[in-house]
Amino acid sequence: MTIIRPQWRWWSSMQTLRYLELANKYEQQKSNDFPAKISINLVTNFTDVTLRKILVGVCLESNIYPQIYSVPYKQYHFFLNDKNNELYSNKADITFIFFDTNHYITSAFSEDPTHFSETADRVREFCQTQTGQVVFCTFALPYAGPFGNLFEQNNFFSQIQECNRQLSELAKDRKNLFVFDINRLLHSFGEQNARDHRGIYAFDIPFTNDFFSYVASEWLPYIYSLTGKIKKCIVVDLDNTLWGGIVGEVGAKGIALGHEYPGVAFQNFQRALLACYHRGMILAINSRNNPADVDEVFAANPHMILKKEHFAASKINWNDKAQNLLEIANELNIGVDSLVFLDDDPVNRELVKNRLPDVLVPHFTISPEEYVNKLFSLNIFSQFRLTDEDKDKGQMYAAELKRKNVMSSAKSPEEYVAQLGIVIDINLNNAGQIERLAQLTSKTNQFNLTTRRYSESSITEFMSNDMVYAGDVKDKFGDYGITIMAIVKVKEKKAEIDTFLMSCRVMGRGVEKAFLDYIIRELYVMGVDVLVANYIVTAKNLPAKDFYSVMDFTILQNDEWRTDYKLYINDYLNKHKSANEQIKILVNNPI
Amino acid sequence: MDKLKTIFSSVLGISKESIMPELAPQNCSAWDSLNAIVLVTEIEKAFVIRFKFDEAMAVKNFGDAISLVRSKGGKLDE
Repeated sequence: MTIIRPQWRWWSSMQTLRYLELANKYEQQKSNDFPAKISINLVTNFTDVTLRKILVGVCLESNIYPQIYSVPYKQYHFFLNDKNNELYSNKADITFIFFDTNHYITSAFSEDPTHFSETADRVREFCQTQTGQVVFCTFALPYAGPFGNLFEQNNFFSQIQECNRQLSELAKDRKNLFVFDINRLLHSFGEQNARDHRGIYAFDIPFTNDFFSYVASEWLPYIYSLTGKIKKCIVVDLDNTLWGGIVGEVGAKGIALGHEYPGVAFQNFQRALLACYHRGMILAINSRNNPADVDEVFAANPHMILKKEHFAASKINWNDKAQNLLEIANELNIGVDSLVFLDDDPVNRELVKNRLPDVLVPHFTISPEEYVNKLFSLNIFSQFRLTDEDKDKGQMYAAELKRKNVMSSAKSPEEYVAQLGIVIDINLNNAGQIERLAQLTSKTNQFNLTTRRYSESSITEFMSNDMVYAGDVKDKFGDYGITIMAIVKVKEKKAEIDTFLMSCRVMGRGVEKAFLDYIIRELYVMGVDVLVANYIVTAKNLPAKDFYSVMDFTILQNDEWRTDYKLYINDYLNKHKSANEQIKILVNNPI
Repeated sequence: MDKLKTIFSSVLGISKESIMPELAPQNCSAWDSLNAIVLVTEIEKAFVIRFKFDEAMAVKNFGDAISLVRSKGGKLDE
């Protein structure tokens, strides 16, 4: 018998063994000296021991230490029904639900059409009790069976389609429920390679080990985003990565780029990168070249899809590429671990891998026609949700480069701010901003005076009892989005700042001063005399340390982890007769 | 032989050095029925061969695995 073997291009068959090996070592260690663990629930209707082990290995490979609880074999229905069990009480950070139905063998789902809706109801209730995220995999669509090419007339096919449709309805309903499309994976892996028929009949393991590896590694981004580790920036080499040939040798118009192979492949790769940019990835260049040669390409080669303005940082020099990457991360104010580096040259890749192990450096010595495929197979693009701010990120960081040029030509910090033409659009208790504001409290570390993390429901509560101010900041180079916020509690003549934070994107422009100045004047109009505030020390919020002193608050009390401040509003207004004129404030208060 | 040993060592979580022809479920607690399945599927994949169910179930120790892979034309010494 000949067997079709998955010659899975980017899937080395050794990868599964590697995951198993990591998982075995981890389980043998038993000790509790691992850093914070991520707790994971696994709910399936098949023998999931291999999947569980592989998932452990996948997490470990990314330095995430998982604690996985899987529901006992064939007992998912009982465990979802009865709320007094570990599935519920674990309060897992994330729960993966993966049911397989197939036309090789019957299951409760295929036997009884009501089983799905019943299970979906249980899952809905389960989600309600959980603070963590729940990821529900769609059902695999069967493409073979008694109807052949008319498979759409197969009842089983339409039944599964209907289940998947209901599943996405369910997810719209519950904020912590996300649908994971298993058919997308089957499509790319091939059902022939994914199904293990002997496994289905003999052990109730419906998929091959490699497919489980693929599924687990596609689940990883969900787990990753729980840890706050997200890839934010794609850094590209130029020669033979963005275009074919070496520009220093063949010139700006001699490089391979355009309508014919291989130029068309490079051009399409640029289109793919542009799509990443519009999805919110930051783009940057790291190339060993003469800057003038590269400028010439951007200026004179009509086939370039990517323009200079798409890149938020550029390192075109003869320095070593690891050093350049460090500088790029530094310039963009993002962690080195949020970089992806694409370079066709194995020597540069090895250098970066050794010096900066946190940078993702995929194998990229491949033909240009494989570039797009390779890029999208890096699983860096999945996230729970993308806000509009996220999507604009690529653009925002690129605008930052233009601001830097203004900064270097400005004679003083004041002149710089004046030239930017900053406008803050201030909203008070705007319910439409809840999702973004909760995200800001959970993501902002540096300019954050109290570092209190709030969920969407807490923000909602503040909005009904207190005052939540949010600033949408823009300047002549672009929009920063909602990047500054304050939560103020007022009790008669006294007010207290519970939270004051600002995203690092807008730091160093006096936005925080103008924003607080506005709030102080508002409080005065409301009849408030005294404003109290505090600074709570964390490992990262040093940049905010002196903020209240700069704003003329007086220190009430001070120790190594906390400073309490007080401000008499009258004193402040006597000293600052009028508001800062360099920054314009717009007020937009929905009632 | 290294490829086969790598599979046993990764799947069972034991060192390659401890893998002798006598290695068996009786003297290796990790070699349970579920890992037996993983061993079979990983060996089949690595050597591009396919065992019959009964053949796979008849493997009682590492030595049996070697002979079975050989009898299927698996190239152990590559």
